[in-house]
Amino acid sequence: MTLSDERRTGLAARQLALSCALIALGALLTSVQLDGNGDWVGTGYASLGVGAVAALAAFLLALRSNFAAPRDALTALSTASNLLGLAFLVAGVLAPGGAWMFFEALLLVALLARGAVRGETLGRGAVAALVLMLLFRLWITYQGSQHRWQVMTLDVPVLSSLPFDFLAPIQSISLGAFTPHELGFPRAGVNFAPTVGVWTLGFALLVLGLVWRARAAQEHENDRIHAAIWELQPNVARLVERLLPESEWGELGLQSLPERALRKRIEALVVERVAARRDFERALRAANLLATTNTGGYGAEIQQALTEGEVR
Amino acid sequence: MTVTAIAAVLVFVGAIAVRGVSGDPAVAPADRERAPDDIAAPLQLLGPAASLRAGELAPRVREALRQEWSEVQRSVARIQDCPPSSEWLASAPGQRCERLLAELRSGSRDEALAALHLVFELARRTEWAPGLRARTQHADKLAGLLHEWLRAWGERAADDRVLSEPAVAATVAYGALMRRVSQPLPLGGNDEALERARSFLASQLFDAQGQATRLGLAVRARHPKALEALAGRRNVLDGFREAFELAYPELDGECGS
Repeated sequence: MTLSDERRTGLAARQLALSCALIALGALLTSVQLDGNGDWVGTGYASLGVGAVAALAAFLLALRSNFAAPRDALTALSTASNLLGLAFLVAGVLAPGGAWMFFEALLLVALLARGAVRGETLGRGAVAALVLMLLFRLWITYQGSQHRWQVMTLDVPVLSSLPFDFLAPIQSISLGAFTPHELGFPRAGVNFAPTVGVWTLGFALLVLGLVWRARAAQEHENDRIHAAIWELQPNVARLVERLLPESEWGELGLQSLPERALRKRIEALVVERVAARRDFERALRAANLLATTNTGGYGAEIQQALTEGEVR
Repeated sequence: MTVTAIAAVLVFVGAIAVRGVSGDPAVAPADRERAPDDIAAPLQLLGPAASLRAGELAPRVREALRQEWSEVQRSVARIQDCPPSSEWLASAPGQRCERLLAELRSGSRDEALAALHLVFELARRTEWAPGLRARTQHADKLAGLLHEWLRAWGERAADDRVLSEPAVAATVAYGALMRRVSQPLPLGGNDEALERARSFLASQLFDAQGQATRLGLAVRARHPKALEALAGRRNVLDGFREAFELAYPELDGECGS
């Protein structure tokens, strides 16, 4: 390994640690809210529990496709950060109570599981759904901070324009009623602006951290494969890297293999590819390439006679 | 890298632990520990029997105004025959009262309470109900006095042990009076007065982000429907009217007759 290779290895590990720290910070920010007394208080365990179930479901489904077993403290932290980050992310966007929380959780489990099977931590569909759910949560938090305990109120046409007090109960329709208890508001009420700022920042850090962690983990894994190849003689290692380019390591199933299995897999792939190349070269040498240009007809017999003569 | 990883673990632990932290309930300023010189039960000084305790305010008014306060307070307490509010305020004793109110508003918090006591006593002993002829000028005049008091003290009073509850009462009274001014009769109304009241109350009770100010929170704690209606599109002052009628049934604009 060259000096630049060693630097690159260190950089990937540092990036992995930093992305985990970013996820942790995002988790902390989505876990707090500022109450009416000016104190920071927690957002409760109920939504975190549901988030953990969603994250665990995605994690278990990913086990079958691309699970990378932790090999050291850093990769263990990375795996735990991924699981916890997803749990906090889901908890941060869920409506904190009521029937719609379970509907949202169901949708997120489906989206995260689909992404996990494809080998993505957060697919575009999942991020879009998470953003929409965050907006919904911020909206109902705003409504609650204004002491309006419904998602929205619609005026009934005509009736709402009549200036009679006794018609008030039927002049508008409330949609999606909820209670302060369902919202998980602190006892002193929520201070809306700073709370929403902190939640949004936490959400952004979680998404950024999870995406960054996935890339850093892949880079870290590639460094391990690279190191395994460079255990060979330098000349041989260079040839092996030409046979097995880094861009194909994921498709070839080299990532996430245990150490011994990785070396065995590299060995098998090299043998297979060298054999394939040798076969190809042999076939290429034996092939009568000029015969392929024979178009038939008047000159065909002449051309065949000439090319056969050349071969002989 | 090791430090970063350890920091990440610690922050995760903190994130999980902090979720369980539950806050304390909101403590109203009036529930805080009272200082020895704080006036007790300040809301009684705005109630029907306020004149019984008016003497307690005299030593709290500054020396230069004490004599004036005592005389004006006596003259207000002796108003007879329920004269229309703006007519009484236009008389010599009324003008004297208005001048004193301006002085008291710019003084200490006890003087602010004394000013509010005078305004409520005026509302109790003068006529300001618009009646069938929709004479709204009297209610408008009284609402103007409350408007000036709230402008000077509203936000400051909301966090004050003594003035927080009187400030809520003043806000509700202002909203209820302006409801009478803006809609004296069941049909029709004065849009200018309604808009004036709405914009003033909104400036006192909501901040730039539309969230309740400390005064707004205090009003919401006692009269949630008043604030909810104010943030709505129709009947924005009806919540104040209902709250005022419930809290001060004797303040009917006709001297309780």
